[in-house]
Amino acid sequence: MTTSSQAIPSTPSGGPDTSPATPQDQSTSQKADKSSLRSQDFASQARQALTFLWAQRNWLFVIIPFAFACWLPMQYSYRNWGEAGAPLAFQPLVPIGAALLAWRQRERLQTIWRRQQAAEATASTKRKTGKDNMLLLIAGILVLLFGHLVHVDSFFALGLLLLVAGIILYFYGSAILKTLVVPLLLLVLMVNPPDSVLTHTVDSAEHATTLAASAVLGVFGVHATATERFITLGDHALEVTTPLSGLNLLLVMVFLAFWYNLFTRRSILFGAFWIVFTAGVTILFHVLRIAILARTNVSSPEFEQFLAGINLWFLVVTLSVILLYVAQAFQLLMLRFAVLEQQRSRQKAGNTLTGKVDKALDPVFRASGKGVEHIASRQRVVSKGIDRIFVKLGSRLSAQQRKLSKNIDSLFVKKKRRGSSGHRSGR
Amino acid sequence: MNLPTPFLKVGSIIAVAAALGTFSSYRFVHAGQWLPPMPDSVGQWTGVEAPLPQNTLAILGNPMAAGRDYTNPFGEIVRASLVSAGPFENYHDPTVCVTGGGFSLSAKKTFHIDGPGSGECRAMVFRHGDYRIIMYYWQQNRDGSTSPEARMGNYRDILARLQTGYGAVVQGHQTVLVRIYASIAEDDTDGVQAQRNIDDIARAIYHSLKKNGTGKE
Repeated sequence: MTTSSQAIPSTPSGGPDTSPATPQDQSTSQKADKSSLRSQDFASQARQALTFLWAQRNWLFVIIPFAFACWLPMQYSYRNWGEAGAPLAFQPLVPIGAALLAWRQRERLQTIWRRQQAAEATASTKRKTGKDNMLLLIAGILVLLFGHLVHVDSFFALGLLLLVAGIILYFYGSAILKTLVVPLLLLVLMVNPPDSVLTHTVDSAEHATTLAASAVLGVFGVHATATERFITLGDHALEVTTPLSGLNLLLVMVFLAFWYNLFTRRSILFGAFWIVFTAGVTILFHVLRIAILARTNVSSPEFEQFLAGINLWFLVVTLSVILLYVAQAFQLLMLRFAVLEQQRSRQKAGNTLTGKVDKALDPVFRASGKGVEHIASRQRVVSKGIDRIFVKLGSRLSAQQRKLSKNIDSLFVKKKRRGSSGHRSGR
Repeated sequence: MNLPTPFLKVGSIIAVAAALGTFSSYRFVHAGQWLPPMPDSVGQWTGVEAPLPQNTLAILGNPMAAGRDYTNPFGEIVRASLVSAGPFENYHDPTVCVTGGGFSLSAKKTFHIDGPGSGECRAMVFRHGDYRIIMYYWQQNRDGSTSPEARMGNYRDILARLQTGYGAVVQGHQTVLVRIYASIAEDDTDGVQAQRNIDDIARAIYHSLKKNGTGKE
C-alpha cells in the first residue's frame, strides 16, 4: 500500500540529524522552542509597542496642554468627590468607564480608520474628515472658558467633553467620532445636576433611610421611632447624616450596573432589570447597615463607630463582588435555558440528540438553581460526557472506516489479481 | 525640521485656553485680597471685634474675614461681618445658610442703602418659632458698586455669577460680602426699631468701604 510508505518520512542521506529523536528529546526541544518563541514574542511586542508610541509622539503636543486644561477643573471637582458622603462620588469612575468602552471598540475603530485611509488614497476627492472643521473644538474651548468665569463644575465637564470630541473629529473624522459616541455620551455623567436638586435628593434619601431602617428594626422586634433624620431607640438616637444617607453608594452601584450593561452589550430589557436589581440589593444592604448601626448605637458604641466609618469604596467592592457573582450565575442560567430551548426546538424538528447527550444534559438543567459553582462543575461533567460520546463515535466511525477501506483494498487486490491472471492467460 | 502642524495647532489652542483658565483662577484669588476695616464706632454705637467662628470660615473656604458687634447705649446689639469674596465658594447666601440652621425666610426686599443713587442691598427677615432676625446683605466692590443678588446656585444664579466672574477676571474687581443683622425684640412687632438700628450701621459701613476702596466720597 502506498499510504504505509508515505507515513514514514524519508531521512535525508548524509544529513547531520539522521538519528531519530527520543520522545524526551522532542519534548525538551519543543519546550525550548516555545520559550524562545515566547521571549521573542514579548521582545517583539515590546519593540512594537515602543515603535508605536514613538510614532505617536506628536500627540504630546495635544496631551500636555489638555492635561494642563484639566488640572483646575479636576481640582474644583474634587470637592464633589472627596467629601464624606458626597453623592457624586461615582464621577471619577466615569472617565475610566468611558476609556474602557472605547478600548473595547479598538478593533472596530482600526478597521474604520484603515477603510477611511484606503478610501482617501483611492478616491479622487478628499473625504470629509472634519480636518478643517474645528467648530467642536472651539465650542469646547468657549464652554471651558465660560466655566472658568462662572466657576460651575458642569461647564468644565461639558467643555472638556466637547474638547475631546473636537480633537477626535479634527484628527480622525466624523466616522470615528460616531463610533465613539457611546463612551462620549457616558462622559455626560460628569455634568453635575443643579445643586438644589442634589440637596433635595440627599434630604429625601436621609428621610427614606430613617424610615426604612426603623421599619426593619420593627420587623425584628426592636421598638424604634423615626423623627426627621433621627432613629430613636430608648434614650439613644442615631442621626442619619449625609454620609449615612446611602445616596453615594446607590449612585456608584447604579453607575457600575449601567456601565456593565454597556460593556457587556446587554439588551435593554436585561440592562433595565440589572440596574433595578442592583439598586434593590444596594438599598437593602444599606438599610440593613443603618438598622444595625442604630441597634449597636445602644449596645456597642465602638462597633457602631466602626460600622459608621467603613469606607465607601470598601462597600462598593464588596457589593460589586456579590453582584458579579450573581450576574455570572444568572448568565449561566440564561445560557442553560437557551440551550434547553434550542434542544426543544430541535426535538420538535425531529432532529433529536442522542439519548446519551440528553441524559448528560438533564442534570445541568435540574441543578441550575444551585449556584454557579455547582453549575460550572456540572458543566464540566457534561462536557466530559459529551467528549466521551464523540470520542466513542469517532473511534467507531474510524474503525468502520478502516474496515471499509480494508474491504475496498481487498476488493481492488482481488480485481488486480484477476486482471493479471486474465492478462497472462491472454498472452 | 518637519513640524507636526495639526498637532501644534490644536495643542496651542488648548494651551491658550488652559492658560486663560489659570489666569482667571489667579484673578479670583486677587478678588479676595481686599478686606477693609470696619468703623470702630458709628455715632452712639460702639464696636467690639467679634471674629467669625472657625467652622463658619472653613465652610466658606477660609477667606479673609472680620466681624464686629455694635452696641448702643440702650444695650441693643447689631452684628456686622465682612468676608472677602474670592472664589465662588466664599459666596454663601443667607437664604441657604441661615435657613439650613432651622430658620425660615419670612420676608425679603431689595432697596438702596442710603437713598437713590447709593448701592443696593437685600433685606431679609428670618423666623425660628417666635425668634426673628433681620439681615442686610450685599456684595461691595472696591470701586463702590454693590450687588444684592445671590451667587450660590450653580445654574439658578448663572447670570449673577457671570457678572461677578467678568468683574473679577476682566475688570479686576476686588469684593467683600457684607452681612449686618440684629434680632428683633418681641415687643418690636413690626421690626421698626431693629430696622432703624441696622440702617445706621449699614449706611456707615457702606460709606466706610467706599472711602477705603477708591475714596470717592
